[in-house]
Amino acid sequence: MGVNQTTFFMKPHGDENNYILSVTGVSKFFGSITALRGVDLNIRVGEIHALLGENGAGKTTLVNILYGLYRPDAGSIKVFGNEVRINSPKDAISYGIVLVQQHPMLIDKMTVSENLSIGLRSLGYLKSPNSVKEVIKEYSIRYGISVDPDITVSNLSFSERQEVELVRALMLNAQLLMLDEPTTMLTSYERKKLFSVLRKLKDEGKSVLLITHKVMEATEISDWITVLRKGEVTASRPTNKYTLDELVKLVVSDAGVFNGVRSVKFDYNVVKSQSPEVLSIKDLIVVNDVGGVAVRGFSLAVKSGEIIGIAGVSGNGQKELSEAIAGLRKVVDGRIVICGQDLTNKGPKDRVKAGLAYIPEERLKYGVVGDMSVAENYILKSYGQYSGFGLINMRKVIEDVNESIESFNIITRGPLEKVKALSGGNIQKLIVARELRSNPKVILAHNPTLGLDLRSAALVRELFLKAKADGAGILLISEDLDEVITLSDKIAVMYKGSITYEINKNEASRDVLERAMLGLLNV
Amino acid sequence: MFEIRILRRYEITNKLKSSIYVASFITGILIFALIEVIYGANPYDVMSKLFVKPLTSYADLQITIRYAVPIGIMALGLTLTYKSGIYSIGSEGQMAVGAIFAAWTAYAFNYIEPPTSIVIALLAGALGGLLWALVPGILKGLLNVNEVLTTLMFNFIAYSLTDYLIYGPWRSPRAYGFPLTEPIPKSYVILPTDGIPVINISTFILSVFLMYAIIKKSVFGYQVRAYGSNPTAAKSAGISFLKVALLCLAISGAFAGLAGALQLTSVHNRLGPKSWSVTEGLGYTAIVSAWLARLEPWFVLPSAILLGALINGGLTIKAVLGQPEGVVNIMNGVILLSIIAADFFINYRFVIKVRE
Repeated sequence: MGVNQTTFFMKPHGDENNYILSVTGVSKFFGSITALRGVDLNIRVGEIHALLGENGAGKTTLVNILYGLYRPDAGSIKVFGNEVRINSPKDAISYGIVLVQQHPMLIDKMTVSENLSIGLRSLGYLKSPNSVKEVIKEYSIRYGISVDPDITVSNLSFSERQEVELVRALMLNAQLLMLDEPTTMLTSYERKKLFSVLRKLKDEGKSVLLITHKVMEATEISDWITVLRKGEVTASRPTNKYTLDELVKLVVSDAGVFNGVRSVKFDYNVVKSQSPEVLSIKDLIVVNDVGGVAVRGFSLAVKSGEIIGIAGVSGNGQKELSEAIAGLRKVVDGRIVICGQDLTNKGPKDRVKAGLAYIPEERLKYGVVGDMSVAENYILKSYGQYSGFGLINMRKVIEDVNESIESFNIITRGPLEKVKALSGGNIQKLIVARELRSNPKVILAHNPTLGLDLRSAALVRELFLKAKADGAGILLISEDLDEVITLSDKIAVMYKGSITYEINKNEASRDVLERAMLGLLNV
Repeated sequence: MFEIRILRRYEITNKLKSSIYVASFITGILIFALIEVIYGANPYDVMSKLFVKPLTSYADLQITIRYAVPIGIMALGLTLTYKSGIYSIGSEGQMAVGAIFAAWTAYAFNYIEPPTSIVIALLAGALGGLLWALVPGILKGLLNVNEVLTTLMFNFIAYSLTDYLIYGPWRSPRAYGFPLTEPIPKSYVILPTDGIPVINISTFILSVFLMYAIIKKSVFGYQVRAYGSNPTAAKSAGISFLKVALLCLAISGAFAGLAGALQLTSVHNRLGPKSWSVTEGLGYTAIVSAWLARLEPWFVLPSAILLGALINGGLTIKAVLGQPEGVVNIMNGVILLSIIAADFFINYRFVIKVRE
């Protein structure tokens, strides 16, 4: 190791040395693709620095370089003015740079303190589970982190797991915490809580690098914003030196295509009362994985050309409901009718045949096969159309995929690239492209724009409206209340497994819906 | 002070990947050479008998092929099932039943002339293997019964079935009391053309093409690959598990049965007890061959030939150099382990650092 750790953080002197981390001219190429070109990034001590960019702008590549997972093809990295080489996460940690993983890596069957103790031990920090408990207690007072050290990790929610990761980072004596899209899976309450922890860390003189594609989030919490677009820095200045409009233009690579944050233009073609019902659910009862009733007596009808939004705090049965409709979860009681066919006890294949498109919440688990190529994933539900004599006509597939890659602006090295190499937003665009291409009669979408940047989200929403105009009925289950309000003709609130509140689009207000989501209102 | 660190690789070039495989293979040979030196043998002598002789001398090449062809054909079938995430180890039993079916065909239709007789015998063998694999397939597809257990059990049932036939109804009265069946009729015996086992080799190569087409080009292969890498996504796309499980096991069973029929008609010509059996444990070697080939149909060709050569070379060092049976097993183990260890170097890299 180049520099002794203890003396390293002692006294920053001089101007440049005030940068805890200073990246100059970093480039990274993957074959002929440029992931990063000449990127500069300077992070000061005690600063919350937002790295803002669309999906595929190169944010994660940069983080992987800073964390020693990739090596840059050009450029230098300095920590307090001293040039360093980061070859592994261990190196990064020795310089005080710690990544809080987007998907926490914890052992489910162990308690929080056991997990932390193990994780630290492998890095050479000897801590017993008991001393870890002490530290957690101390942090809970200092930062408002509220994890019970004795609880088994499998019982923790996503945001609690994230807190455990934060604690781990702090125990590693992190001076710069990097958080990659930390709010993707959080509810708005959990997000506020996370931000308050980050602010407290900042007050203690720690630095935070927040990687995000959400403009509002960056302006809400950061002191400084660096915008990354197509692998290059387009702007880097204090947050208060930006206007919102300007920021959006800097982030989005082709501002002409972009229609503004919430002002997607579309016709509210009023649903005619005689439109046929394409999806009808009656008295549905579904249980969750541990046998508890997750959906209780759920009834709903979606007509052709109509979007019905289901709002609700996650964990109120939305997951089980969507899986039951898609045919992935057994129905205990009730009926599911798609386009006049009772498919309650039929498998996913019959539902696809009947005209159901499914955009699942957990896209990597349900939506794509990561080890297969973009082209192969593209035909996952329509491979029959591309086959003759039992063989798949790959040439035809690739032609069609290339078309979709272009029209959906999917960033990929080509149709033969493995899907797991794509960024989350681009995987979602691929799924939406696949699901909508067959002109489905019913679209079931669960958090379809979760984790997508502005432009991709706007594109997905526009496609929904187009499908609606073409006569599809859409059931939109979303935690994004704004999305539900913007898109839906009718909004239903799901609470504890059933619909507790229903309202028409033009009467809906955020306030009322939020109260209904917490179970404070009934029909 | 030096410090060695093991780090995960996130990127690797194909060139580096293949050099790692070659290097690990050579390392395995060197380790085995060292063992031979300790044992007191001349390693050069041993190596030439193990690797050079089985692949260069005309007579030895025939013996190598005698093993390589059935190993390869069965490995191809297993490649498909392993790609679907189903871990069958039933080739051995399916091969035995394939041989039984082929033998029955030969005894029952002894009036049929070649080449029709040969084709019928091979098809009957494939059918036998297919049927034998069907029961584990149905259990897996319908009830999700662990296929490792069922296919293994079916191997033992197949052994017992063979034993029943050779000690019972099919026992030859003219075999000097040995538990052997009558030799199959001459019209069912595959003979090499000008000393080259043309039919065996061409069946193997055709099987490679066929399996390549099934896995890489066919709709079914597509379903299998999707199912194998993400069952949940495949299920939500409407791909039927029953179909995948049943067909994968049936196809791999047919390939194993074909191998059994081929061995019966071209090598053994009769069914016999354990030490003279048609299968010779090759059904298990095929598992190794499939994984050595990284479940790629084309790579089964070299992997099967390598394993065939090792079996053949093992026989030579046993017979000519008088080394015990264990040495052959050590050799097999060392070489296979080092090739499998290559995975570690493909996924991780070493960094040596100098500490101040």
